[in-house]
Amino acid sequence: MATYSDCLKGEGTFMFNVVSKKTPRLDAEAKVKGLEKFASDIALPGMLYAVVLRSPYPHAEILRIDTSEAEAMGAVCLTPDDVPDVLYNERGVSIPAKTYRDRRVLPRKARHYGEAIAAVAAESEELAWKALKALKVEYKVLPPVLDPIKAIEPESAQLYERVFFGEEEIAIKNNIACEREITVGDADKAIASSDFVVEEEYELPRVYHFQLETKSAVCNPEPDGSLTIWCTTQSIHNVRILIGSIFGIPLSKVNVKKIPVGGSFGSSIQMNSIIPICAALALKAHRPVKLVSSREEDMYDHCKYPSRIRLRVGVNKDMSIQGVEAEVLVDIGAHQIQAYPLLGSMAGWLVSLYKWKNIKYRSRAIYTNKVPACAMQGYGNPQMNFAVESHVDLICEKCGFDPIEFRLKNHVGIGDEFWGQGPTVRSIIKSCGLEESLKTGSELINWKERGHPINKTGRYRRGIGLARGFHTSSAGAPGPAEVIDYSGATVKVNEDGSVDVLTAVMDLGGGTWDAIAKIVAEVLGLPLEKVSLSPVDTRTTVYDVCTHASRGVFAGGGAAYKAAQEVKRKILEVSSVFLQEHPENLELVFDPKRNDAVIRPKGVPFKSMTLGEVARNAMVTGLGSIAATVSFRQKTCPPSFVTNFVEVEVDTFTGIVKLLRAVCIADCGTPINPDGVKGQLIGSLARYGGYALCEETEYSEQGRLKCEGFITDNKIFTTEEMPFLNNIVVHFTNTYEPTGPLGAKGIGEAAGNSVASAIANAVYNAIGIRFTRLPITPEKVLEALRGKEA
Amino acid sequence: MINCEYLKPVDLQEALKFASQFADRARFAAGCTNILPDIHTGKLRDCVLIDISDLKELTGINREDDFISLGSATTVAELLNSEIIRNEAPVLWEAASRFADPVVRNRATVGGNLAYGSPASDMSVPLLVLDATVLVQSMEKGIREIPLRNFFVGPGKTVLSPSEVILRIKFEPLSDFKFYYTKFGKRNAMAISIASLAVGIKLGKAIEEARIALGALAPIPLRALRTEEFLTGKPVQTEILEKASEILLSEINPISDIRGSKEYRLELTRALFLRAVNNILSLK
Repeated sequence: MATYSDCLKGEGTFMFNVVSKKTPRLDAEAKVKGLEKFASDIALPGMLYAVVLRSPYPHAEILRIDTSEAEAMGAVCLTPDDVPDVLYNERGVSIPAKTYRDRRVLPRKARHYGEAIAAVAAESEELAWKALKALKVEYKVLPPVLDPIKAIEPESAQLYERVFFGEEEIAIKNNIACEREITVGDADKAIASSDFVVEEEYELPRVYHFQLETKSAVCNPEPDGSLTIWCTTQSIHNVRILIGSIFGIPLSKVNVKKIPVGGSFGSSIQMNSIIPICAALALKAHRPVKLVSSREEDMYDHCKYPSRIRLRVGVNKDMSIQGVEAEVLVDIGAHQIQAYPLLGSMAGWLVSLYKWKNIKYRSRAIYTNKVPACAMQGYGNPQMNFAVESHVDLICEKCGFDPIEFRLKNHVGIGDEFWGQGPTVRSIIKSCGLEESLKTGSELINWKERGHPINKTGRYRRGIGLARGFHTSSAGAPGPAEVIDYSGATVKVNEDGSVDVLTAVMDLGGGTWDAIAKIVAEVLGLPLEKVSLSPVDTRTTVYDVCTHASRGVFAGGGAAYKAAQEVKRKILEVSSVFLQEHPENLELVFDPKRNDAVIRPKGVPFKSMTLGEVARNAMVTGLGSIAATVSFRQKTCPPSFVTNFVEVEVDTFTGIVKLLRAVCIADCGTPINPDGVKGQLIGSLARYGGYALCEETEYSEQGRLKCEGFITDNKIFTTEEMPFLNNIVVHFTNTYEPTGPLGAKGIGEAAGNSVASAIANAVYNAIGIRFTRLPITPEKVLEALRGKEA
Repeated sequence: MINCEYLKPVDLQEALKFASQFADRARFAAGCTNILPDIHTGKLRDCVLIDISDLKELTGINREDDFISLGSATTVAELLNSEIIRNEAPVLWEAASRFADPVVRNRATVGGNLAYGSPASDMSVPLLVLDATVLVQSMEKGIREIPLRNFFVGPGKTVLSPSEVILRIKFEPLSDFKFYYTKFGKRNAMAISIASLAVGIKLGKAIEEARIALGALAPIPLRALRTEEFLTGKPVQTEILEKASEILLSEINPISDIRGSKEYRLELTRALFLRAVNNILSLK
């Protein structure tokens, strides 16, 4: 099979001109100069400023809100009485029948500290704040439920009595939001008859997304009765559908603008909680309204799923795995944003890592009076990966296996089934760079020299660790599934031969828009500068589900690829008129001398027209515009494999773990933007370095974040914590995904899933202590070292 | 209700007059890196901010005879850019280089950092080890000189009266001492200290004089006077240093908070102290 590097050399099925070449970011200048316009930069004449009243209690009924004083100041007030009595789920990615709905635009009962319970809009932000302070709220304070284990005890307070699952109203018992069980074979029996049984429990912390842009929205009621929305989102179409259904507006009258997003990491897959509040205020005030969250408000709005995972694995002496039993408990906080599909996806990450043969998977999501958890770069995958990849090293240590050989023997690879988004999204793996990753990575990090912890002494001890992971590219599957996944694009040739691309796909900062432009340029034989992405909205684009599940390039780019192919066919058809040749006889290629796309009879270079000449002739002769719109579903969910090797140094006097070196190896098929892929891998090293070593947002007994929502005491990695750049090696495996656009798969989430696991394994290799709970803070390291001595 | 006013005096005399006039409501303000967050979160609700950031009496880094004198409104960034500080007070320069991040360093002032009285104050530790003196003034009390080691009273509390402003901070650079500064936070940049420590040693055949200052390890930033006394005249030996670290631990009184537990801070102090002394001894 051809690989992307063959294509780069012109030896594959395709000769790359733009794709897989390093190109400057299309938005670089605007971003570097501060000229890019994000939602919070939108300002309209006559705009009101909105601020939100947030619950000072983790659990309280809201009995009465007196707005008279605030209204006397000239503010427009929004209380639970002013919003539609509709229960919704803010995430429109799952099919409605598999979606839990427990949320109102403003609730009658606050279920976490910092939950929005009322809002005001006024002529200035200052007046809005003054009016907000004039709101008088009567609460009935209820006991908070903070511990997920205690939450299921019958005497605990209940967050919900009833919620909706699809159209069915269901009772919630013991704060159990939902459960999922998956059984393959007979794991109990298989484990019982194995040579070795290894059991351990792992715990992953609650961390905050810490995306740069806090959630923002501007809503403008238009004279024609429609509503225009600029907002932070990963899916303009799902925001449109939700606003339409909550407020009863036809979708043709809701228009959500596609604008740049200042980072997200999954926190805007769902319609953010402030968007419908802003919309309701705009509809009530009949004026444009702007609502921008502060960092503190944002930290009280979303977080990663804190999880406990217990694994019991049976292995035989020949290194073959016999079965796995996994118990998963997820503390989802106050709302179900996507707990049900999460539990399914976590099962998928488990079953797709190794050939377990027999599987018993039981999972539970528990409501607590805390910030609602949602997807965060990996959607349960970093959590499951930490448990499994720690466990694999534990098995190898206990049974005397080589960790690389064990992984090579048991991993799921080409020809095996991969679960891309839970049990209903499955496809067969057709490309896999894992074997190459393990081989190349172990050479690059000098794996054989890593030594054993019992031989390491002295104050500073170094260790090398490895973990491998993956993530899906999209939630595409052969048939309909629990997850909606399709995209679309319009490609049109302008009258000078340049090209506009209209797509609803969002770029979360990773370079998805560049990738889409490059794919279209490649198919149409154009230099990149002749392809532009149009500023569009939900009115001018066909549906795209969401930029999530690492699907931007694979599914969004896949749709653009399809549309470009369709346009290419039409170009050849129109050209055939001018070139007096049958379309099948013509080819569309990049001509480096003219730096343009040319159409010519196959193998006859002197009889050619540029795409510009064809487009102009088509205009003059009235043949019309060349354009195509497609709606496209990917029918596979190929995994991108990423392997991380890291070297750490543990200071046994202070407990500080320093990241010294890292080797990040990615199999993303064709890297459309090589620098972008590199950026994702190094960025994820920082992101998950923090997850491994320092990040956690703990709760006080009063149900408030101990850091109070401030960044003062919630630390993510900075460059200071990273290895020096020349100690980070990035390598791409030489693969080509046959179902991806020009051989590409996703990378965004795959880049980070195994980083924390590799760091924990390296810490073990340095000091012989296995940490089963993240983050591995200096304090915990020192405590464990002292415990070991004693 | 937040009720904060802002006044911009034309000179020091007017600043002192305002402070006297508004008494308990008066707050001198320069970089505002603590005051603004406190107003924002409602910790500070009623105040008159008196902007002293560019009063000439409070600016400048000067050499005065045997002393180096800093205006209290000197920013941390100005310390870092000063050749005098870099060459003659490297321990202060080192602490400035580890202070928050460049954006905060451009605003935060040395005087503000001391006056705020945080137990984790990052400027206090190097200035304590240099045995600095603060020069303060008010309408009521006139000009006073206070040794920095008598300046802090408790968390957020200093000996300053509400109408008293820090004019300057001065210290001898002590060229015959060798210094080491270390700070430990949740990460390396933009983090509040879990523990910070500065050690200065004048070494002859034995330890002629030792100075130890500590931050975030007691209700106030402090000098470890008993440990210093113990070390004076002692030879540099592992047992002596071990004994010194035990005395040091008895002098501090750390708390458990979101950044670290008491036990961890005690353990850390021992490690940081030994690291500091070993570093100083290896300096030539």
